[in-house]
Amino acid sequence: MAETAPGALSRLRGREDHGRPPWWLVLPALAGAALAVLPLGYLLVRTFEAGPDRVVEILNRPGTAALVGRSLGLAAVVTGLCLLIGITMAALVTRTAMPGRRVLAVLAPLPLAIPSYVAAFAWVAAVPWARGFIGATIVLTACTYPYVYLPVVAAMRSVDPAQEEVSRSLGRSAWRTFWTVTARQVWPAAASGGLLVALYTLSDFGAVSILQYDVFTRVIHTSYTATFDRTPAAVLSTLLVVITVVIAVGERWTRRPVEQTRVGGGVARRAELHRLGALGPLASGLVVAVLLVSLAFPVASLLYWFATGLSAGIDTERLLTSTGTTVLLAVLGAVATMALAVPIGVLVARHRSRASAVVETATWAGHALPGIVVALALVFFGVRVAQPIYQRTPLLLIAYAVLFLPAGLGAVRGAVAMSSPRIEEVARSLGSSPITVLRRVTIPLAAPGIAAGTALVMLTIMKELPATLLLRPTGANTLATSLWTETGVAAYAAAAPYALALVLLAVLPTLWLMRAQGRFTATEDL
Amino acid sequence: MSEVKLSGVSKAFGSTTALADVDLTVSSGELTAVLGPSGCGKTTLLRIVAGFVRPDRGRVEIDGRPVVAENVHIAPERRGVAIVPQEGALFPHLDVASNVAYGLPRSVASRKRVDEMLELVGLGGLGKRRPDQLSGGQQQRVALARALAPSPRVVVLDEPFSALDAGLRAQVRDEVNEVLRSIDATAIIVTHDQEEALSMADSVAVMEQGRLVMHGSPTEVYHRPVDLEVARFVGDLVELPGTKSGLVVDTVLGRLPIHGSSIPADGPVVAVIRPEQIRVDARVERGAKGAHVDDVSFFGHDALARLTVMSDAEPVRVLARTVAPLQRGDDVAIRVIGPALVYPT
Amino acid sequence: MHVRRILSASLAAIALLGAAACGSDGPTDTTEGADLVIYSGRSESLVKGILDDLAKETGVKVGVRYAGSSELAAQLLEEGEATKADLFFSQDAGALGALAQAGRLEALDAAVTDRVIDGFADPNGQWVGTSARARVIGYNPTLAPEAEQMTSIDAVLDPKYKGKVGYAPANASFHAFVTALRVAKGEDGAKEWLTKFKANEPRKYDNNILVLDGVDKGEVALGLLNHYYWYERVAEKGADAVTARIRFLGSDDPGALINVAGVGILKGTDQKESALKAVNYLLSEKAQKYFADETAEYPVVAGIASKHDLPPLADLEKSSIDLNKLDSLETTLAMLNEVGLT
Repeated sequence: MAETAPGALSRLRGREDHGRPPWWLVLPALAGAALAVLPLGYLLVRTFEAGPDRVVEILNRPGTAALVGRSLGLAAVVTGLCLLIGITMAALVTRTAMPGRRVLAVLAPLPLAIPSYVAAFAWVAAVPWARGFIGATIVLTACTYPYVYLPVVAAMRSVDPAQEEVSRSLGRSAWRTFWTVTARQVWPAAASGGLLVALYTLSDFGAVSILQYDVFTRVIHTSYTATFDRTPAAVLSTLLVVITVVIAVGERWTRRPVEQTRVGGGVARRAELHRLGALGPLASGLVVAVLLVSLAFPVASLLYWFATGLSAGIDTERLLTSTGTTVLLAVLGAVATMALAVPIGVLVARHRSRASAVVETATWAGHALPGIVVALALVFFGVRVAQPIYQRTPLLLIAYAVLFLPAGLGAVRGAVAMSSPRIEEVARSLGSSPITVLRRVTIPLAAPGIAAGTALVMLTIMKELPATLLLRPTGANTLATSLWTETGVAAYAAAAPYALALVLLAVLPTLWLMRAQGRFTATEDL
Repeated sequence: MSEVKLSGVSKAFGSTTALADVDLTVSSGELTAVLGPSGCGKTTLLRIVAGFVRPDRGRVEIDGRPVVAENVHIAPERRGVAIVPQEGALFPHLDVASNVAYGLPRSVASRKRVDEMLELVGLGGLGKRRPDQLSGGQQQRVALARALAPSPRVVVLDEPFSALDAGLRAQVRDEVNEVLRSIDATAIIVTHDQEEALSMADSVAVMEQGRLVMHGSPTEVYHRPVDLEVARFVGDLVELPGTKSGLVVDTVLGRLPIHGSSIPADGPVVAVIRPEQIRVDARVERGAKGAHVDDVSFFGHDALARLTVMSDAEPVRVLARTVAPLQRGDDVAIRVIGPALVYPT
Repeated sequence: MHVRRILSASLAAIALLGAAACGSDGPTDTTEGADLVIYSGRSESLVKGILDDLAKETGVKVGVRYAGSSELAAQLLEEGEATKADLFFSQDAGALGALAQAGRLEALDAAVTDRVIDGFADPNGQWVGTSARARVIGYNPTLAPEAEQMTSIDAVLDPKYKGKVGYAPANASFHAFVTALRVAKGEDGAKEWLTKFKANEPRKYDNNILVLDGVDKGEVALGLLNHYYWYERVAEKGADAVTARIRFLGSDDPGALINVAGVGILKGTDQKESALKAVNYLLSEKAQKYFADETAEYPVVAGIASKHDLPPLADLEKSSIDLNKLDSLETTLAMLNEVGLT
């Protein structure tokens, strides 16, 4: 081993070993990146069409800057709260003997199953004062904190408790140890979750619109819906893409120093659970309060509407076909998305280079755009170059891939990075070709991460509305579109069965996600 | 079993030179240890042989067939070079038997081979265990069984015992050595532990800052190191200033014969002897020097004593390996057995 | 090993569930084999009945794609010539106007546009109205019993309603109302009205339904909305369960504006004949009766009675169509932006 400059050398060596990624990784990765930047391409076409004067005029409109500020402010507050809630809950669940720990650990990620527009409806209907900034903050935080909670729980379980013990033995309190040792170690996980939260908040239209908080996506929508002018929408969406990329790059920058100091071979014993004493019930109470707001309340609202609407009868057939379509599209969409996420994840984790960083960043381009922008971009390309699949399932699946690639990619990249490249070398030395190594070693080892990514993507697809609405095969209905149809004419009661079915259905991948991340940690312990 | 030949192999990572013009031939069926301090480039050398690092220059041949040459770089999986990495790197998702079977075709014969290999490394019957249910030593032996199962032409081992604790290390090392010998494998083992290298290998290649400074049998390397650095690296040393004249050297321990192979010009030199060449007696005899015992490290089979030699000039400190029951503060007599090596100052 | 088992088991379970639940009805394309493809911005729950009847009675095989009117308009604009749509059924005139302006609509014969009451078809014959709805003031009888007597929209500017008026700023009908305000009061007058309205701190809602909810629950005393939401609500919940009431304003008041829903035939359709059949069907007595009774809207063909107790269309403002012209719409939006009512 060259220990003279271990960091520098191993980094250089890493580049040397894997310098030439094989074509069967590069091709799908490039395809994925190309798809992901499709919306950007569309936006640029529309923006350039307008000419520079128009673009400047649009960007200079009174209110644009203010709305960008409001959007960023909301995203910052929601992300901050999600980090606080997600990390705190993860710590309580993994590190303390809080009463009801196990049950709460299982319940904590479930708000992910509730679409933010459903939660927003529940709030608007029941709590008149919870509007505007406060309402948007509550609803978006409640619906997205699991994006932080889940990866942080997994990361906490893999932090070697020996490090915490060392810190304690050096005189730091449990509290300071948590924030200076444990929290540092889980930061990459928390940061990637926080990124998902921030971009979700930026791109969300449904919830903020129901809760009457004016943000950036509102202008984009108004541009389409009130003036039927696609140019301002395109210019402002391009601005949103730029903001997204800046945030994504920023996130990578915050986790880089931590990630590179990670050393392998840590065999984790289970951490001793901190006794909370009299504070125990208080801690459980806090978690329960979060769950009441984020889970119990919207579900109770749905049940209430459901009960109100029972007398009017339920369109069982439509409910069933909508459920079937939702499941089918979610499964197919997740498979399509992961088919792109796996090669990109392997490429990014194993072949670090400027090029692979660009590919990774490119995948974020579609993620913070409102669904309608991505949908219209695919309409644009669909009718021009993919007429045979336009308004058919394949194009809709592509839209899902564009929208949700980063969610799947994060999980794959993390899982691949966790397993040692030495293991792959052994397989090579035993006569396996690189592609066989991928099939027999890399993918099985990353399986829990791939499973987690699949579940996350599936979950998100189930809840997706705007792109589904424009790109679905004519006549096909998902639970989300049926829900939309009913709420369009005020029939809360008629909408409730679809909303309830959607939540129940989304619980499955959420639980699966949790399981997968649990296994992920277990494998990592080896 | 095959001969491995490296010629003119160089490799730099950025501005850091890892290997500089290395020539090394590992004879068929032999176990060669590549010995050197951390950072000397030995792991890079091993990874070049296995095919994971492409050298900047030079050739590597296995059995006369070039695997690395100008415009030639055979993929690792087609070299027949099996690797045993530092911590074993067992596939955590496979059980022990599947780990060993990894490089074998799927067949009944393979299953028999797995059992054989597990038997060979003394782990018969543990095929169904998961890697995390094994001790470190067991994991290392599974890694070896996995490497040997497909009957590779060459096995390369990268500090395979460094992760094990001392007691276990000696035991596993002997077992691995035995297995390698029993199947007559050509093996290259990379290590920074001279005792390991000297005791296991048929030949030892000593590396220093990317250069191969010596390649020879363990005895040669130990008793006739090519320079002072190698001498220091391969074992404890007593270094004495001396004056060479002809075939003898005069030192504070008297006039010593010089080993024939190392011959600098007459004049001031560094004379070198091994601690076990120093005899310690309780009584001063003829031709012996008086010395004072400063400190003793007792190992059971022998002890290492640090002594100060009484002399007319400055006091000189020497090391002696001895079985005599010495204690700190004793005054003893010492003399040197056998020849000294001399190196230019 | 466990991981793979979990993974494959869950995948299998979900795939099975999917296969079982959707059976033969996967995401099939109902335009497959359809003669006429309709993009409907009108809600499925409102118009599915009449479109089913249309297919049955005209013998045209119909495939319908439902989404928001403006989203569909945007989609149709992106699709251009390549669209699969033959007919666009829009909730409001604005979306039709946008398509007409982009040259995406086929002109209709006077024979078609003449069937509707004067003023309910595009003057250039690009599209034709199918039903209409009136702007009304919704009120909570406990909080604002006096609203029963209101005759002018100016009443909502009364400072006693500070923070007590609900409206939906993103709604196309509201935009049309503001345009009507500009026509009625002139640019300066409209701006003054809006400034006063803003000063009265009206409450924003996402859509008309939520405005009605707000009135019903007493969050606000008054609400600016379209009449038929109230009738829908009464139909859904029963008259006793709805607290809110609505007030139709006088005919010369911009607050009594009429908005239309309508259809247009897409340029380049290869189904022009079927499309025309469909348009004519929507203007037939049966269809008009459907809008009058089922969706509680105003029929746009003379001589159709409604089962609902609606004030006669003639009593209400009716210069609705020009108000949805895009250039006037942009001026309206700019004014709303300026005043800060978006």
